[in-house]
Amino acid sequence: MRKFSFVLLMVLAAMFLQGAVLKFAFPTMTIPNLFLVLVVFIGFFEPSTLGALLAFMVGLLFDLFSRGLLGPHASAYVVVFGIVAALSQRIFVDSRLAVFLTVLLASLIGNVVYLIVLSEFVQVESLVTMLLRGALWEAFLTALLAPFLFVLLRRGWLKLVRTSLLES
Amino acid sequence: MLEVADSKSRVAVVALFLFFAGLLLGAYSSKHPETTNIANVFIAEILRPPEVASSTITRVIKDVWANYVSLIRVREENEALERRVQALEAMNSGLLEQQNENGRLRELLDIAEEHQLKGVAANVIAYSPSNWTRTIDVDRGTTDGVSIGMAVVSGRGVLGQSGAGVVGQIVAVGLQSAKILLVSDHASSVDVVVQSNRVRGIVEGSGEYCKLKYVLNEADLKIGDRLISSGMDGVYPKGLLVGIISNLSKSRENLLQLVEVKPSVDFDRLESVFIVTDKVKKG
Repeated sequence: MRKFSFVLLMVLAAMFLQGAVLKFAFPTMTIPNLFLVLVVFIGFFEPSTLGALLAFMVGLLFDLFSRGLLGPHASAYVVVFGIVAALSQRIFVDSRLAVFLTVLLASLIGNVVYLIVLSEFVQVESLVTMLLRGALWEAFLTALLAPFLFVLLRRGWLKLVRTSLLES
Repeated sequence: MLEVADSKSRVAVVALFLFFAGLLLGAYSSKHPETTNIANVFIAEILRPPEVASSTITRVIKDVWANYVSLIRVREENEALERRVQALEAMNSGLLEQQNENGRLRELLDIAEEHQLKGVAANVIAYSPSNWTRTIDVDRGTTDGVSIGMAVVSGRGVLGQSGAGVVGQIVAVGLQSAKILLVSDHASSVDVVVQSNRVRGIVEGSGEYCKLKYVLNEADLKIGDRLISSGMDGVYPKGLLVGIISNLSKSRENLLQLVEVKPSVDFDRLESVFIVTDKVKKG
């Protein structure tokens, strides 16, 4: 329940930062995707069925906040979570470079899956055009911010886990 | 080891199940868009107060920064006066913000008079957090007479041109907030005519710009042609500027022209909009 509340709080914070601060200050520019950083973080630190559910919830809420269809981001983020969770034991998460590269690839994979799923329901431009137009730059910006966000998320998460262990 | 493998395979099965659940949800919500509206409205009402506060702060910071750049030029001419002006600007930044807001609201009222529109002015408080969707949130809702499907316009046209420009359409509404789908969104479409020769087409959103579709190769279009709303789609009032043709491409292999359209509204500087609640002014 605590982990669920923590993730929900982070989702609301990401929604506020992306929608009401970053996007408001730079309306037509590409901004980093804080939701994706959260999903990658969950993949590293909670590679379990709970983590899969949390990743799905993050994607679903992102769909809701974006006024898009319900489901495409949820599916995409579950895929990202699955890949990161599978590799979580092999990546040294304390390395900023490792986090940068992981988030960069995760963002690209997430956007590819999202666009493929979205194209099943609405008409979009060619996948390659849309990827080149926005996804590459978004992936780079997100990956640049990720190592710093990871430090903050990790502090909150470890505090949560320690509190839970002490209480149990 | 076996337990770890079981646990990993369980996670994989759950993830696969959730992936297909997402696909099913997408299929359902594409056929029943009203399902997202209730949750959307609930979340919008919760986030409205911090969004309004944040948008006010961001707006003040932008205005102070713009004033600072202009004051640097003045400083080259007279350093003593520049220091005094800086001090006065800091004191008067609040008054300037009110003046700007008055100007924006006056522009919107002029639009209502010119096009015989009835409606409410609204302030932009947030943008869609996603880079793939183009929506904005405003601080008007059902309590102000706003409902889904209403057209939204702005007084600030492209490159400083005056005149009403089409912003988009209301797609979700709460008690005191509403979500607007911008014309540049992939899901948006507006029925238009070319102002000079009355050729008809549909302007569809394509991210940063728009496309004019279903125009035959024979149609005489040129860069700079203005596209205005035809009123035939039943959403947007007739005669509003939707965009300006920015690029053209014809080929013998295609029956239709490829036309790029720059939206009439500068979304970078969009702060206030006018929600059309009635197309004919009563009284």
